[in-house]
Amino acid sequence: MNIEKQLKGRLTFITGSAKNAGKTTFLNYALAHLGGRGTAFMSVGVDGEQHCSLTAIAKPRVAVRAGDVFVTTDAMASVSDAALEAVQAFPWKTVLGRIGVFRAGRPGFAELVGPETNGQAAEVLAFLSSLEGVDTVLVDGALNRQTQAAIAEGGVVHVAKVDAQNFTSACQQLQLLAELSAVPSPGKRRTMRVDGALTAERAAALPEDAGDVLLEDYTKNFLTLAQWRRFASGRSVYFQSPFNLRFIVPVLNEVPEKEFCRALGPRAMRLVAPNPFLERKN
Amino acid sequence: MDAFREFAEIEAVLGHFRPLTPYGRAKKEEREFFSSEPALDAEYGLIDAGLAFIRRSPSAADRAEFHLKNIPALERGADFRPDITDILLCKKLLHHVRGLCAVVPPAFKKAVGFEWKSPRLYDRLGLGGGGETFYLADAYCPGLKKLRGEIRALDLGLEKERLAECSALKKKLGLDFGARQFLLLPDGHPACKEHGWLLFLERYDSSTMTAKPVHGGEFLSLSARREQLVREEKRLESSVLRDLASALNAESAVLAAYIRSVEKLDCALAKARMALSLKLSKPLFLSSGKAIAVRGGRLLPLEAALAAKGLKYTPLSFDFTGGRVAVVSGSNMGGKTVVLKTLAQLQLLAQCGFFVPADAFRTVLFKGVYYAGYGVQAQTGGLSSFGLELHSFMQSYAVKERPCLFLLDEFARTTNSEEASALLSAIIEAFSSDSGIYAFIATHFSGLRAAKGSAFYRMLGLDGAALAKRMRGPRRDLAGALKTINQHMRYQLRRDAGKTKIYDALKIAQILGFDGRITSRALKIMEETHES
Repeated sequence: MNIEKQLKGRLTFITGSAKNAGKTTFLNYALAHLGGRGTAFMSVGVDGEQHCSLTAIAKPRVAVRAGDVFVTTDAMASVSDAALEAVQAFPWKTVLGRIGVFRAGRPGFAELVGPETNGQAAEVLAFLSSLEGVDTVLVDGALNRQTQAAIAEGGVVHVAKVDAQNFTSACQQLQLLAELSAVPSPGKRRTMRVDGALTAERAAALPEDAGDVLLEDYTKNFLTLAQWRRFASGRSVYFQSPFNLRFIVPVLNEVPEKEFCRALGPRAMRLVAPNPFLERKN
Repeated sequence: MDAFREFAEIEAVLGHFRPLTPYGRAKKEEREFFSSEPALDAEYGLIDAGLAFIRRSPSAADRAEFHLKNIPALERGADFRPDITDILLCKKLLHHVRGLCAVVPPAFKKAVGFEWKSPRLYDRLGLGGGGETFYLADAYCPGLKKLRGEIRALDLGLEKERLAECSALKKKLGLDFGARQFLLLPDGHPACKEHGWLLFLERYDSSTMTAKPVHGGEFLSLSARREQLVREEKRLESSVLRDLASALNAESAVLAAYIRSVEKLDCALAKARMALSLKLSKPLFLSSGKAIAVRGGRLLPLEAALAAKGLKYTPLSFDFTGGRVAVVSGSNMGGKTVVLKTLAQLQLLAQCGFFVPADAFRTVLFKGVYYAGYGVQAQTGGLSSFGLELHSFMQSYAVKERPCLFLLDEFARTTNSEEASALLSAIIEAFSSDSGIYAFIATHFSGLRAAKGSAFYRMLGLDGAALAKRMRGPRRDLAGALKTINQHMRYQLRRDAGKTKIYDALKIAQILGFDGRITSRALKIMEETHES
């Protein structure tokens, strides 16, 4: 899978199955291949700091290249070594300062701080997309901010941390994401619209002859894999905003790769990109 | 005032007033009410200037709009901090103010107080490049150029060292780091044993190691030197930012003046655009004591609602020459309330510094405008609707500023007609005896007493003859019934002695499909009452 081709010229949200799943590490990898050439990036929440404020686990900083455009605060910009040019300043202030857009004048490192609300994120994204010379936008979402992924028309790269403790649930979650990504938009079909969250209770309450069902987007699904499969069998389901899952990056810990592939199954495996940091035995 | 504003449905109209800058939008929220003629003249003068600008130079007006849209929000009164975003915001402000000064005509610039006084400051902020971004260029400080040159050389050196280290790792261990900061090596990978201290290994999980390149002495030395130079660079940059912030703070009065001018220009252009799109005209203020007169007055929300339903709208055209206190009577759905709402909307728009939706509106400048009547909401709990009306009226009547305008819509409608008529008659007398009060009172109560300085008017009501000719029976659908009423109701005012009794209510009940037996019986009861 050519990751650069999947990301270049597009808006992509990098979501993670949990905090410290590896999103920023993947962002750094993606930027190393894309950076400095029409690329803008931002995070939602605080990222790039050397230690996660919640778990104290060491986190990588974001390496920037000359020409990179990114979002952070004035306070974080003042300590970056990348010789920054200030491009825009927004009226919102976080505890870490005022949100702004900056362009790196030389290689260096930066700490990303993003807007705090969906509305602010949408405004910043609109600005980044309108900048001359920017054709690629990456958004590093902290925690599982899949709601943001539904705001704008962008694709999703999902970084999934899979270890021995969460193996079954993680694989099922990935299978579910793969199936959700195959749900089409309705076009001109007449459908029964289900607004808000699709929970097990609501799914059970739908009349049997409901016909084709329209949901807002994949983030409104709260069914497990098994529940979803039961719900989707015998009816056509559509998303108003389809889920454009570009690919999945598995971060395996204490999980043999073969076992993971077997558990995931061929359908979901089609969407899996190999971990770009894994060096195989010769 | 809140009750008056609500009655006038002013918010629906103000939705068309769309300033483009944060300052204009903040000004809009103030909801300023003018009771001074010079202040209002100044507001109208700005709208006239805005209209002239848009009409004569539409493309320049578009460019002005572009600049206004991009004016940033600066905290008024706050000092500029020595940080890059504060400096950026100021540069953006100057950039767009300069752009506005270039496109706005001289007379309009003078009217809003625009005068470009900051060429040197603007040039100074632009040393890192023109336009809307800000960069702390080498030109700001002699030491920066040398330092940054050294840092660039170090960056090249570091990259060269990194590539050399990667090349060595690839050659010796077959590992291609490329742009990756680490690799995951499965246990048993030859590199885990044979790395010869070229790699730093940490356990990742039970079968994998994390491998990072170990940088050589040259790389570490270059890196340390770079860190030192970056610290020095930060020190110089902070000094430059402090100087720039001081320069901006020294110009704070000029910048504040720009913001005031931007606010005025933005609001003037927004009001001008609103006047063009809604076909508004400039009101004329008369001295106190003169009659209020309207030609083609439109209650905009109602006009739009009727248009959406395909119903006709009758603008208000009338001269209230009978006296300062006007009593408007008429049948149900006859338009009494609409007359009052139209006057309320016109008066409030005029005194908030807008042009008005009328072909002509001549009015008096009031110190206060008050509403009491149907629909009034009060903060006081425990009162009936009559109690709320009384409370609202008393609060307004207690204010002694003159001249003032009262609008009473179906006041005391929920109490018995005898007492309500008496109360209203007494209010008419009290208002009439106060030369500083104008009042419009809409009521369905009859038998009210006139007083010197008051006059009665009547809505013409249903055209019974036309209705009788065309109506074949009650309409079964509400939309159809409303259309029938709309088509046959005459929404015009006439001067009246105040004695005319209007009997349209039962006809309206018939149109709306009210139980025919009950309406027939009601008509019979009325005949009997009149005979007796």
